[in-house]
Amino acid sequence: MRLHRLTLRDFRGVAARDLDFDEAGVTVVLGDNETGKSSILEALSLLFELPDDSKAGKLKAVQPAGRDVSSEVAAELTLGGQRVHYRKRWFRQRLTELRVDPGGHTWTGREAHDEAARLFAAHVDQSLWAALVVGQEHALAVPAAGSVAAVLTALDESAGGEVDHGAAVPLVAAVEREYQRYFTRTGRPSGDYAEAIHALDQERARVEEARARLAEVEQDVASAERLTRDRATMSARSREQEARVAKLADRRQAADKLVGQVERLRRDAEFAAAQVESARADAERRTALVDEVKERDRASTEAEEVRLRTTAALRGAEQEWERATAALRVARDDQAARRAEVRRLDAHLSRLRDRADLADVRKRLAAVEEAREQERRAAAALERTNVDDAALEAAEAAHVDVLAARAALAAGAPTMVVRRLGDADVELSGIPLEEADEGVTVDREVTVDRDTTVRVPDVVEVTVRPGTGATELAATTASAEDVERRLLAELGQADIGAVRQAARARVEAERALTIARDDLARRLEGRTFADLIAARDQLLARVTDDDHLDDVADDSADDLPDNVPDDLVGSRVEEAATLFDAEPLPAREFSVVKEALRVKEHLPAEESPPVKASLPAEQPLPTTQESTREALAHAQAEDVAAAKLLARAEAAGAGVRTAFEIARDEATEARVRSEQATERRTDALATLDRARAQQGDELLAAAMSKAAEEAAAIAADLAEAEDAVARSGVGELGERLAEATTLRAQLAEQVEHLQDELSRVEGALERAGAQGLATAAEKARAELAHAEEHHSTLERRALAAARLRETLERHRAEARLRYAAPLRDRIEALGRVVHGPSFGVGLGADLEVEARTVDGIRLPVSSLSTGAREQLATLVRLAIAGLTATDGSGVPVVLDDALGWSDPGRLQAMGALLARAGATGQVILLTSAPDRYVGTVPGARVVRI
Amino acid sequence: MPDTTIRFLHSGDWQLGMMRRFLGPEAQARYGQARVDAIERIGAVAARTSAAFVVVAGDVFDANQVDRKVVLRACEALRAVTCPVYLLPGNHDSLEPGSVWASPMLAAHLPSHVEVLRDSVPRTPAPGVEVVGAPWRTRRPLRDPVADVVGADPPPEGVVRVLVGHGQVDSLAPDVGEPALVRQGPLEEAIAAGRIHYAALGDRHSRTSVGESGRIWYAGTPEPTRPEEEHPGDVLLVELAAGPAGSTCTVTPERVGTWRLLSRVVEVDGDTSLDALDRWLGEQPDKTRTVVRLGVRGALSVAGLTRLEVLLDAQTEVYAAIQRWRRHWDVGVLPDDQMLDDLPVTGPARAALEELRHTVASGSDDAAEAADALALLHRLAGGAA
Repeated sequence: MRLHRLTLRDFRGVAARDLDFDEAGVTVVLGDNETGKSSILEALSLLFELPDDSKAGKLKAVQPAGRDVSSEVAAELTLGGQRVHYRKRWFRQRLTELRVDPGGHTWTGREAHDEAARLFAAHVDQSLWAALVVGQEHALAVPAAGSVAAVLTALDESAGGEVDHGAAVPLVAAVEREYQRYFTRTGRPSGDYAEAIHALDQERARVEEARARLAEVEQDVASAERLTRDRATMSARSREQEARVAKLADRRQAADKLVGQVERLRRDAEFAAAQVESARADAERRTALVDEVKERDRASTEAEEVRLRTTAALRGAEQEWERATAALRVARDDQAARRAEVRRLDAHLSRLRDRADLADVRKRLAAVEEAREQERRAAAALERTNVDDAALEAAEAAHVDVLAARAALAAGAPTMVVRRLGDADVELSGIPLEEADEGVTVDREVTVDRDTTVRVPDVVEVTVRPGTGATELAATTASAEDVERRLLAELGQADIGAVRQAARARVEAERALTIARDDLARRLEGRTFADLIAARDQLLARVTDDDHLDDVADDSADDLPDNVPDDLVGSRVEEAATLFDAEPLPAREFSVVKEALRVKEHLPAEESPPVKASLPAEQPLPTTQESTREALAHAQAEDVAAAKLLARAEAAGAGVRTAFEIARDEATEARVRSEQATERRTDALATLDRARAQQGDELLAAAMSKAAEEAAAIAADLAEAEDAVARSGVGELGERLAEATTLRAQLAEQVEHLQDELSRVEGALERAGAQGLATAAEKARAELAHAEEHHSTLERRALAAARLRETLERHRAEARLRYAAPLRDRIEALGRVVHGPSFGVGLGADLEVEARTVDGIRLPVSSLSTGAREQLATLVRLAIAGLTATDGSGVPVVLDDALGWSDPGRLQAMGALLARAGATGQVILLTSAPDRYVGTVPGARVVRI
Repeated sequence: MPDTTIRFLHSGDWQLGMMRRFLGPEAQARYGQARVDAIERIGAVAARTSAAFVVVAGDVFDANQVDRKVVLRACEALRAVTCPVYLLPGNHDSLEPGSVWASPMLAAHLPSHVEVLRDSVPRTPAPGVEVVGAPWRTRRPLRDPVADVVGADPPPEGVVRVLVGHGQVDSLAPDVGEPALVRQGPLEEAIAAGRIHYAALGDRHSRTSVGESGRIWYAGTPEPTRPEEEHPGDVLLVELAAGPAGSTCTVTPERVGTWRLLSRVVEVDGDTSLDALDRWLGEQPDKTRTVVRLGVRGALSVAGLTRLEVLLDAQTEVYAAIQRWRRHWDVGVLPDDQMLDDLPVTGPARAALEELRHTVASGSDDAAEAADALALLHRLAGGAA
């Protein structure tokens, strides 16, 4: 193919351009940037590619911006030895024209487009066109010569022309198509073959599944057969066991009857034993009753004895108490006498001392005569009354005590009313009661605060004895009255009213005395004289009152000296102790009575003389102070001893009284007990009598022996029956029956289980039977056979195709390697012009340049610099162009803006090569750099645009 | 006593539901139907020969788990038989649990004149004759399946007994260790003693008379199932005559089969032998009901090989099936084929062709694959089709 002329109208930025190209040689199209150099290649491409009515997007970009005009491209070229004129206009006044010379055939419109396309396809090797007509965007890409059919043809020819490419290429393609019917490019099965393999797998799986399902059924069949056999065996065993159980059950029933009999007899025996027990209990109760009566008798007698004993003890205690009371009285009197003696001696001593003092003092008292006179007058006034506040208070208190005691006595002591009813004389406490007037009775009421006797001579004497409380109350009352009486006497007053009057008079006198003494003190201006006067007056007063000394009351009995001789006290104590035991009596049942009895035994006889205090005879008073002091000391000692003796007598009296009270209580209790015992004895006797009346003792004994006989008879029967049960082996029989029954149940369960299992399996088989599994399996196997057949056929074809392809490719590759030599030689020859004599290249299987060697350094293409790569790409293109130039199918070498990366030296060398290429073919160089080619490509024609 | 002749049909091995792998789906369907139709044809023979009854000696069904369609169609076909029919369970359809005989469907649809011999109780389809079956109760019995009937007491005076049994007789069995063989000796003794008058056996698909008595027979399958079978496709008409001079037995095969299963091995060496094969295939009658198991031995040119393929492809469409018998399929390419020389192939392709040709000639393991590749090259390079 040769390009002769290209015309552009309104194409992109180009308004109008006509370019002529030399048929051979180099044409350099030189233009500034954006002057439309690249449009030349684009126009050529679109001319053949797009019809005039195309709506392709890339066409839109061709129309000049903003102008609704036609874009037109016309080309004149040689195709397959024919001169072709081809013109096309897009957008407006669309037009396609084609004329082919010689012959002048013309086409227009779509036909023109189609014919042009056909001619282009037929005469232009597309792969060669792609390799040699290069836009600037591909300038760096090193083309693979092996992909260029024209190169291969050329190489084949240069290798000896043994391949007719007109036939070989279609054969290779046909083999490839055949291969691809069965395989993918990567060698995996595809299409029908893959489907056949898949189908085969599926059918195999189906057969396997069907076989498995059938195998399940067969297993079920075997299982059902086995279950049927097992069930028959187990049923037979079950029936045998049934018979065994029935036999054992019969034996068991007979044994049970025996057991029932034993149980009845046992119940009878129990009843008989209860009867015997009941009779024996009756007898025992009777014996117990008799014993009880005896016991009650004994207890009653005993209680009576006790009663008698305690009554006697009580009497003893009473006498003891009376004697103790008498002794106490004596002791009190004795003590009072001793106390009086002490006081008498004491007063006597004081008088003696006072008289001595008075004689001494009188001499010094004359000076205060007047004052003494005055004081004596005041004192005389005061003397008229001795009732001071304390005395009044004491008299009031004593009076209140009396009133309180009387009231208590009136409330606490019993009263007795005595009425005389007839003519007989009645004495109340020895005083005759007055006779009653006609029809009128006279009551005498007395408070019994002491033993009071009502006596009808020759008929009766009743002594009413007050209780302890009343006696005490009476004593308290008497004591209180005594105190009051003595106090009144002491005060010299008749009654409490006189005391009160005297008290008021004394208050007046005391006030007068105070005034007199104040007056005396004023008169006595020196104290020493006053004291003396007072002392002489006191002494004188005492001496004056000598005759009244014995009457001076001094109740400070406690004020005893401590040094009383022990032996004196001891003798009096021993004396008292012979009468009383000071030990308190223990409050034990009946023991006190015994104690009381013992006390009584030790008491002196009634007729023994009453205890009396041995009071000293009144002695003449000593004349001297010394002798008086001695007498006083002795009297004081005796007073202390008497007081101690009195205390002991009081304690003894209290003890005796307590003993008496206990004895009384015990006597009362003993009486009550005795009465109870008598009652109980009577009751027990009555019960026994009633029981005997109901059933006599003989009848009881008879009933007991009869019950015993019956029990013995039943026991004999029972022993016999138990023996029979033991012989029947009922226990073991029960176990055996239980075991047999369990086994029977187990067997029945197993039979049932087997039946269930069998039913289940038979059910499964029935369901399986309805599914036609065997038919399905057979069908699956048949389908598998077909799939295998189909697969086998396809596999054979596929393997044949693969084998043929492999064989053919191998031979082709070998041939290609043989072809590579001329191509390499050509590239290296060109390359040495640029890079020197050491330049070499390595080619791959597709005749692509893999590596470049310069000066022994081998570099892969990918490692080359941009400039070197661009040069290499141009070299390969020129080599391809050179190889294909001899063939009419060659195409021009068109380089757009190439070699922009080369240094001037290399550029010069490349220019030489381009010029050499121009010698055998058409070379068109598009550039914007005037110095790139101009001057470097010898003989190049430069077209400026 | 007047002479009495009992006439009945003996058949067996219907194998209903059987499938053949060498048949395509369409042929398979026809073949299956043909086996069912054979029942009707047996019925027609029975009617024509006035047979009193029909016994089917086992393997009525090909399996216990056959499709319900098979059972229903069999029941339907049996209606066409007008005399009593006795079906015996064999090893393929033994009376095992879940067997086809236990199916409710069969019970519902089996015609009343058809009886399954589930036990060995004598049946009396006609006066003077009793039919005693020896059914298979399991598919693997451990003893002679007819022994009990063989050893039973003789029939009443004047009654002929027909044994219906199933299994291989020991005299014909390849494996004498198999426990379920029918022992020929005792059977012949029973026949000689007059306890059994005819033994209708099943299991063997080839019609066969066993022993010398002429009273022990395999009827063969009514439609062939394998090419190896001898005389399949018949039903036996049995005539038993009882008389004072002793009984006689006549057995006559009656044709009911419609299919043929053939085996053929041919030698090929060129067009002449291919012509002969083509002719033979063309001459066979009833091709749609004929299966050929074909073996081919020899060597052919690439073109001859292609012709063989084309020829077989065409006949396969006509026949029920043409099965390539792998054991006897050994056909190669002639390496010195002139046609290969004439192919317009040069350069690397020619080198490839020559390499393949050399491999074929060497007879190595991959020679067959190389031959296929060579044939493919021949076709793609524009050689004769």
